[in-house]
Amino acid sequence: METVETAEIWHIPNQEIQASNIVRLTKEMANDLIDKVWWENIPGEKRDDEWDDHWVWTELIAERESDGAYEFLAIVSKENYVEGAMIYKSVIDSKLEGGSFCGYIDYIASAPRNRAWVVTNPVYGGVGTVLTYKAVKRSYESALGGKVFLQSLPRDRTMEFYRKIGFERTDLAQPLTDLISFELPEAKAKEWLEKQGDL
Amino acid sequence: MIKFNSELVDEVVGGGGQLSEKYLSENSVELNLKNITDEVDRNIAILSALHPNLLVRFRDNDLSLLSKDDKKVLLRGMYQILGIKPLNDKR
Repeated sequence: METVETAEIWHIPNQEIQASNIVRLTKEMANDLIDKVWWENIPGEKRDDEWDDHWVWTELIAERESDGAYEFLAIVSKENYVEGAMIYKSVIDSKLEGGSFCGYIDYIASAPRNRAWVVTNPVYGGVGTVLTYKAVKRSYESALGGKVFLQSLPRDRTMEFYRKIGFERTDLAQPLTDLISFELPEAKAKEWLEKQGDL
Repeated sequence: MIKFNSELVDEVVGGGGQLSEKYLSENSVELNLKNITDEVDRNIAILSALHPNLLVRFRDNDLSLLSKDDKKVLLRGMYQILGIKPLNDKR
């Protein structure tokens, strides 16, 4: 596995911070460590409520790998388990700031075993935060000001999480039953980078 | 190293929507980062695509001939011209 960066995540059972690796996600890894593993012990009724239980990460990567602007990343814990994954596109048009560009989180997901609303005893916390932050860093390093666009599930807690970071809705006319478009403006991205000690 | 931030701990699932055409204007930048795995190389490639005049300023350096340290210097120079404060190097 090719490590891109290290990151701290919260091990919930031990109540301690642990180091993890952000790595490049290959199709082989996606097949062996996500598609075959993530949902195997999740009961059907729990899966039904999750939008991503039908995502096949191997195929998502295969469909995009010919486009050189995409990056496929995963966060791997010291147990060698893929705790979350993200497909990031380096450049799309910004919706909030016309005429400029931003990064784009095409797909992002924490492993089901880390979702407190899916399992009784989630294993890691902060995986989604790390992946989102990685996208912001990538956008900033690419001279896009840290701006990132994404489409959130219309779940209250997820949207609240993005709002807390500073993401803003880009289309208030979107119905709250569908994916909701959010973009993190440059000022908020920089605030987050400063708070993390990276800027 | 991305530090743990206890104020922002949550798990997310998102995406899967078709990106509207309005986000892919004629101005969109063609990028090919497929075979570029090095972080510094990627950033130089993206900056060069977004700001084509930058590499001219650096006399069209052949990146393959530069050492990793030289590439970092080149990247810092690009950031300086663009008025971008580099991220702290905590690795």
